[in-house]
Amino acid sequence: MKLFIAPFAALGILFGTTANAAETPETILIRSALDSQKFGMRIGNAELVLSAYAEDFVAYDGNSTADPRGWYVLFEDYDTFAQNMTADLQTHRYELERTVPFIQVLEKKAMVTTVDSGLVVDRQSGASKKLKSQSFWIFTKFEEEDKWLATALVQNLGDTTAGPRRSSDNHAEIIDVLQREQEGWKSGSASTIAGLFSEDFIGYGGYDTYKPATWKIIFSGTEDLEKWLDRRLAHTTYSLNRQVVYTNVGAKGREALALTKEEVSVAHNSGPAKHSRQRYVLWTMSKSSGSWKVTNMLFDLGLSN
Amino acid sequence: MNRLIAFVRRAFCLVLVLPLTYCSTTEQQVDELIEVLAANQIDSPEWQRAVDELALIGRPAARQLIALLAPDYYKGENYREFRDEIEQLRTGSARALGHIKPRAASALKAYITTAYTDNERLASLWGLSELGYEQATVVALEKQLADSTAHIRLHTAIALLKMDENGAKDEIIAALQGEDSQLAQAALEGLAGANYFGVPLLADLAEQPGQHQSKVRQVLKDLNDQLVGQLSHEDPDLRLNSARALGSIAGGGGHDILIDLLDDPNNQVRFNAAAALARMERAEGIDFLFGALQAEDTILRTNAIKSLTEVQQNSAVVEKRLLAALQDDAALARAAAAQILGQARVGTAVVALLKTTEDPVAKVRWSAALALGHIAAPESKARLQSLLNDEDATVAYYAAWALRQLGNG
Repeated sequence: MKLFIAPFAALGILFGTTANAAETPETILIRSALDSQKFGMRIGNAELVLSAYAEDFVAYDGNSTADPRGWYVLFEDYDTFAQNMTADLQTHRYELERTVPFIQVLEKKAMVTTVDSGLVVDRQSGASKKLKSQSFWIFTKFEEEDKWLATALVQNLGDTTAGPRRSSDNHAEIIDVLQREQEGWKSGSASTIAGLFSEDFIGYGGYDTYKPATWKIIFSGTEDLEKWLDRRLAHTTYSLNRQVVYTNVGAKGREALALTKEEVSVAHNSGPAKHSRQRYVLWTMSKSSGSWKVTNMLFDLGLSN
Repeated sequence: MNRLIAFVRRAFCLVLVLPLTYCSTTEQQVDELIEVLAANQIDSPEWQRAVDELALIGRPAARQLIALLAPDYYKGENYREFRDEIEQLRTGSARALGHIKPRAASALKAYITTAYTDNERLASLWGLSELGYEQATVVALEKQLADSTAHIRLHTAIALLKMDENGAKDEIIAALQGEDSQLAQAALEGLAGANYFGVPLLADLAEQPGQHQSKVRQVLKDLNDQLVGQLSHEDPDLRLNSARALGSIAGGGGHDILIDLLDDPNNQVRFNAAAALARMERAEGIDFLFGALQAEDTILRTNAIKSLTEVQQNSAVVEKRLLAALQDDAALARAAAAQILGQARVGTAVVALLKTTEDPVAKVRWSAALALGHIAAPESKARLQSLLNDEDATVAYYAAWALRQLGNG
């Protein structure tokens, strides 16, 4: 039972979701999607719950830590997720409160954090279990439907970087992608780099913290990234020393996450100043048509070691 | 060489217009200079050259420079990974904006808080100080006077001084009298860069013994030369403020130009030049101001009263002539002299002012009563009480007011 409760508890039921003063039409639409999901969970309506998710939805388990070295791929595709969700709602009722402390929107991409607390009740026995869980969501706006839908979720996210770490599976294909990306920087080839990213890619700035509420979206799609690469590489030369410290690939081999530790430095064409820093970068990837593409990239994740 | 190439290229663009492909747009020029800022350490010669060229481009560069300041700017194609690179851009932008002085640069006040680096804060403080007075800026600056860093407090005080807000000058004095030689040097440089705003404080400090007295005097001497040069500037504000500041420098120069300015088309320039000359004990200035005391034009007379009051407050050079003016044939001059002696609180004038309360002209009598109220000397009480019964209601009114100043209302 635990297996099913844990994944869905984080998607909990929203009653009393609070809105803040900085609401925009987009944040209201995102809250609306979360409300539908919440209400569906409450009444056991799987169709309503699933209406909040995009077809390419991916879920990761945060394993009660903010350090991605403890995270793993939970659901690699919408169908598997939907089947599990439907089965879970038949056996459990979610009586949860949810707060939405953080929403940041950049163009058609958004990141959201939610905190769920309350009870998960076994419909047959009536036994209940307390639950408190923090989640990090990624939403995308689908213009044709004028809707924001969840495309990714890290559930059961920890408050600190303490917590269990998992062994890296050191997946050769993921390491290869990351090495090719590194080569692209070294050779100054924008097309080599951009070719490794999916069209719907999102880039984030972590600003040396592990708390999502302090992160910012810096690239909303590959076009954004390409413009930056063209401009940046026209004026600078990069040096990048990357160490892949963790990879995790889902059981079906379709979704992956990775963490790299790297030393990046830049020399400018217009003067002698050099800038460099060490950083952790979090990556998620999807495999389509036989090749892996980067779907999310978070620079400067605040990890201490 | 780079500068020469840039100049030739710009001249080529301006004169020949074609070929268009060779001529970059202003936006591209600004972009290129921004990359120079990013590629060179703060205060390095190339970085400074980029700041200077951006300042030279002026207002067409302002939009891009203001954008560089905002944290939200650094995303998408403008993303930069390195905080020290962003610091170079923000600092350069703030310095260039301080030269360009677009109104929108008041946005700099958002970048003087502890959320930003000291370089960014100091550049923003300087940029704001160049923009001149704005109430919201003053409020934002005053909050920084509580900062834990002495350099930030000092530059905040200098910025306020340049907005004619003297409330924080003790911070500047403390920097000059303290043990930190770098801070003292920064205070001197700040005062030197404050133009006429820094002159009254420098003039005071120049008379006070201390380890930096000789440097203070040198800065004051250099500023004196600068002010003299500014007397011929086309901007009347600069002329009048330079004249005014010269008056507060002991042994200040520019006499001949100040005398010429007595015929300036601008009223304020004329009176400030005259006041400066008066403080230098030059008859041309003193005669000009006393002559204006008898003017029928109220504005001219008011300007003369204001100027002579300031002269008397700062040096007693006109005191004897003011006392003599109480017996002038012209009633307007007698009344004005009484008002000046009162506003300047000249205690030695009480006896003469008591005598003036017997003047046949009511305006002169109430001016004398008003002056006695300002001075608040106890020996004037009896006479003021008798004026309560004056035939002129205005005289009686001001006598009552004066008695209240004596605590006998």
